Amino acid sequence: MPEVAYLLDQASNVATFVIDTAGPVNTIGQQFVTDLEKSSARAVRDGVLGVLIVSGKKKSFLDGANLKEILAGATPQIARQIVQRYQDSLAFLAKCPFPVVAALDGQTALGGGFELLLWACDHVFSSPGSRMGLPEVSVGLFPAGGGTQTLKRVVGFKTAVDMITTARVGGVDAFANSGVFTICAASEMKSRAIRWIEQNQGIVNRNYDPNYEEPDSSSPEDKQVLLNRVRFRYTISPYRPYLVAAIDALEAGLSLPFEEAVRKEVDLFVPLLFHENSRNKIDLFFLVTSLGPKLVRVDPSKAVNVDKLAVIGSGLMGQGIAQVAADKGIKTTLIDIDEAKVKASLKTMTDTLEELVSRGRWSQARKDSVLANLSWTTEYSDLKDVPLVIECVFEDLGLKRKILAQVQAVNPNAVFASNTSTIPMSEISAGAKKPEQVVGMHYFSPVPLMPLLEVIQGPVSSKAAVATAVTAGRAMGKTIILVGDGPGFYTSRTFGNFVMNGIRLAELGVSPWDVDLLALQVGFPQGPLHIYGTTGGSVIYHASSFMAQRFPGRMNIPATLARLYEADYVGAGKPCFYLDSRKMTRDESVLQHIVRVEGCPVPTDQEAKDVLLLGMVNEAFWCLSDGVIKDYFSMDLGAVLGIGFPDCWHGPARYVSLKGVSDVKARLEELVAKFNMPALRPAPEFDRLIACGLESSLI
Amino acid sequence: MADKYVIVGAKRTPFGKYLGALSESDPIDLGVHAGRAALNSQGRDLTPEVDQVFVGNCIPPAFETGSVTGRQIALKLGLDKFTITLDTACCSPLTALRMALWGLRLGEISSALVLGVEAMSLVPHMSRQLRAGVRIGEVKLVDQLFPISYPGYNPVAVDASDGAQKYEVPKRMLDAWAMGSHLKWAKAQESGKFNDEIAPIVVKKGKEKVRFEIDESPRPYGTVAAIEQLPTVFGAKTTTAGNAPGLNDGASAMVVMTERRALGLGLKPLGEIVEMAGETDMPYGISWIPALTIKKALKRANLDLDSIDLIEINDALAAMPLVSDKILADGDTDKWHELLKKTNVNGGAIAMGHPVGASGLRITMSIMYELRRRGGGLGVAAICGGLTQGEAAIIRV
Repeated sequence: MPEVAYLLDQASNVATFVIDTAGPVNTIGQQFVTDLEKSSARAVRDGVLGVLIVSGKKKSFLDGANLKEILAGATPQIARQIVQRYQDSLAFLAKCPFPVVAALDGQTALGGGFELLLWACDHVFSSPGSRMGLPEVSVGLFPAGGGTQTLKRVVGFKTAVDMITTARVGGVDAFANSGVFTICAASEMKSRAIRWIEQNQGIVNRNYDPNYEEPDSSSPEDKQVLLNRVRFRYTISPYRPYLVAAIDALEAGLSLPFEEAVRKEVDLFVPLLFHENSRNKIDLFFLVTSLGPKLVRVDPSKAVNVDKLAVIGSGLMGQGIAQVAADKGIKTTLIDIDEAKVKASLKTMTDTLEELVSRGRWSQARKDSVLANLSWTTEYSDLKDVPLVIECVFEDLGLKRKILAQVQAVNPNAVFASNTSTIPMSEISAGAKKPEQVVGMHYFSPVPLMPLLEVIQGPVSSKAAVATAVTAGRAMGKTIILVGDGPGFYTSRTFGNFVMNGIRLAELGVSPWDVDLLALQVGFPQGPLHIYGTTGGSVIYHASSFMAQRFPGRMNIPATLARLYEADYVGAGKPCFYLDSRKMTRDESVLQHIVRVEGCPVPTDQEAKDVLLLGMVNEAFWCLSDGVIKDYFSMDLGAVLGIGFPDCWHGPARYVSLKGVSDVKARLEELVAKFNMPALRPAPEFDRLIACGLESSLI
Repeated sequence: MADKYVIVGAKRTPFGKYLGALSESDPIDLGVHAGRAALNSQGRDLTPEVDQVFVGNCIPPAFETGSVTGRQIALKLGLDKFTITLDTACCSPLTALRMALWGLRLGEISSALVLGVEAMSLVPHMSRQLRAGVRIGEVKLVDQLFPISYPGYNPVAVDASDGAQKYEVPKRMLDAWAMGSHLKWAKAQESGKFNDEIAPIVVKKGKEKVRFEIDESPRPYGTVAAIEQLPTVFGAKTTTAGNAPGLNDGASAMVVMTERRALGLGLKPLGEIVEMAGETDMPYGISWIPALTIKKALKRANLDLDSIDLIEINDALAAMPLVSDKILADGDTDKWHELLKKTNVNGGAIAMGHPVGASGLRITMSIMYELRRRGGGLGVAAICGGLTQGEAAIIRV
């Protein structure tokens, strides 16, 4: 079976290319390119009136390069040849003397697939549900099938830059006004496409048309200014070479003619395939998409069917969890003892959903179904036949225990999941009627957007309770890591450590804004002091007090943190250290609260970066030593999806593998000694690995 | 003054994967190849000097005729000398070496050829029903290799995993050890260390003949993370295909002599066999028997563990070196880690493979050659065998 089948309709003299590659979605590999070349050559030989490109797969039109095939044993020469051949095949088709049209029926066209539409097709017909975009930078690459030059001709330069650098994939409606896309019912697509071909004989492909006008009329100077701004914003970290390459390619297009600019893409693309950080991103992509969703193995027959659930506590987390559950068709009851509060929460949720609908992100039907699945109560007696109760009240042990007792008094068989971020299951369930029913379901805020769910297995949690939490979490669309019990579990413990290390660096004499900048350079999405404010200083203070109490000697509360708390400099919703979150103007007044540590040198930039990154890495390995984290895939997956570990490093385990176990340990020891930071004392796990002769290859 | 007992030749075939490079070779020929290489390793043929032959083998059905397999090999080597074939499971080749040592010490012989041979790829499925004829019903074909266990006892994989649990060796450490085994092998291979012990062999591959010279099993490009995802086997808690060796083919050989005879022949002693010991424990004690055997050998030699520079404990499963070293360290974590660092320094059976009847001599020659590369020292090699017997050899260079 050719991957691009050629069908010639005698009546209309229009050739149809049917894309159907091996595998569940259509991807671009050697065979695809060969078959595309063959079909194109045949269309020319047959003297067709035009070509219509469709997909033989239900959901996928063409979803980018077959990365596994390209990376398997590829040399730079082979990689260059593949990319160049794909570009040549698109150019050939684009320059054919007849019109080329594509039709998508609610399918996806991603990366190289979208580039086929952008480069080779004169027009695209699509039914409303199709989605497309150039998400390459999210896998450590950038669009090199002409995308940096062809997309701007459809959506304008500014939007093209934004779509490419943010890897945004969206509905086809975004292109409705471009003149290149026509959105119509699936049933009319084919006849309209053929009619379009008949009416547009002799059309010159827009990429080769010197008279074609881009939708965005801004001047080359303005475009350069825009690119400079984007470059500054996205290339703070030198470990994201794919963003540098994407911006370089976009910039090349400002001065070079089309054909030279697309060739430049090839030059920029090939080295990326062999770059450490790009490889990390590609591997992470496979971890997140293929392995991640099935990483935790539970016996589904032990899980209780969760067709309804209750969420206790109607704050931000409770609302988020309730919305996600209701959105997945689970009948969800929101409970709060305060009737006014729960009603207000429902109102907030309704408003949020209405905004999503008005911005075109959600359909009216989806919103209606969420609201139909949502109910509220103030009575615990309403929990009688709910199989799963998720508690998300204030982080207070006494309160959580009280609620657990109330729930078990009414319904002892319900699985009780605590959305605590720090308190161990062993403490929450101590003294409970049925402690085996208690598990942790630690969600991340904002719940509808954050993909991770940390499920915590307490020492007495039953297999059934864990299986129920995992199954329900999956039904809510979350990627799950299963961790053992312990203060702060995996993510809060590691994340909290990052924030504490940031504060400590400020105490050592690094300017707080430099701390944040250095964090961005390392690859973190946000600096630790910025996080302090947006998370809320009170939450951070209480959590770190709790952790300091549980890990005496290793973790302690920086004097500055206490001072900030006492001074009520706690942000909550708005940033601290900055006056606003858009322009990030420094709030110099914070300096009065910083308690300078004496007797240690001021860390250099490199030392400060190592404190931030290695601090998080080290804590992750402490979690392994303590039996909280159980395997390396969960370690890396949880760190990137949950707590913003730099994705260009894949995760703590990969970072250690690349840097060498002994070197990481030695560096930590150096930092502990120099800056008197007991939190950086190397995890015992490093000694185990060294004893086993392992310096690398953890993941 | 009492004589010393020395090794004057030690060679092995590269180890083949299950159904891999050596699977088309007759096990007799593997034994002959290793034996001839050891006999000729000092530049002259020592065949005429051999007084007796001792051959260890674990699963004799792999031979076309599974009786006096050692004698079959010896005759093909041109050695019409008394030949003992013995089976103490994975201990076999070291038991053979210990028997040779008895002979040398007793003065009955002053030289011996010791061999270990295994061809797991060639082990047939067997039926006890056919001889009498099958009157009605199915014929049961028993697989001697799957699972490796003995009637009435747990599979080795289960006992090893229970041992790891008893001595609090977590699964992630078994997996880390396994990956470490591959990486240590790769490093040693890269620097050509195995050239000392491996005698390349020409083997059949379909219609062609190819030279086979590098162990076939190691997978240095894997990761601990991938090993962690493998399912446990045979109902064991922690044993997986990743932290166990494969089923392999290969042969090892050693020529041993009294020092007097060796020097008399103008031969260069490669290493001295200081002492050997055999030990047993309850049949489930497979993971810690190497430790007990090492202790016994050290005691007999009046040596203490601190004087030992290098240790080989066969990676029969990752649990064996980890549990045994922990016992040798009396549970002290730092000491345990220090012992592990000197154990299987060039990788173990998880990487290079475990042809069960050949590994014992392999670890002994590995330690001897590594000591030689380091300019001398004292080493101990130990192996566990089915139903929990252990063999250990202390080697001085």
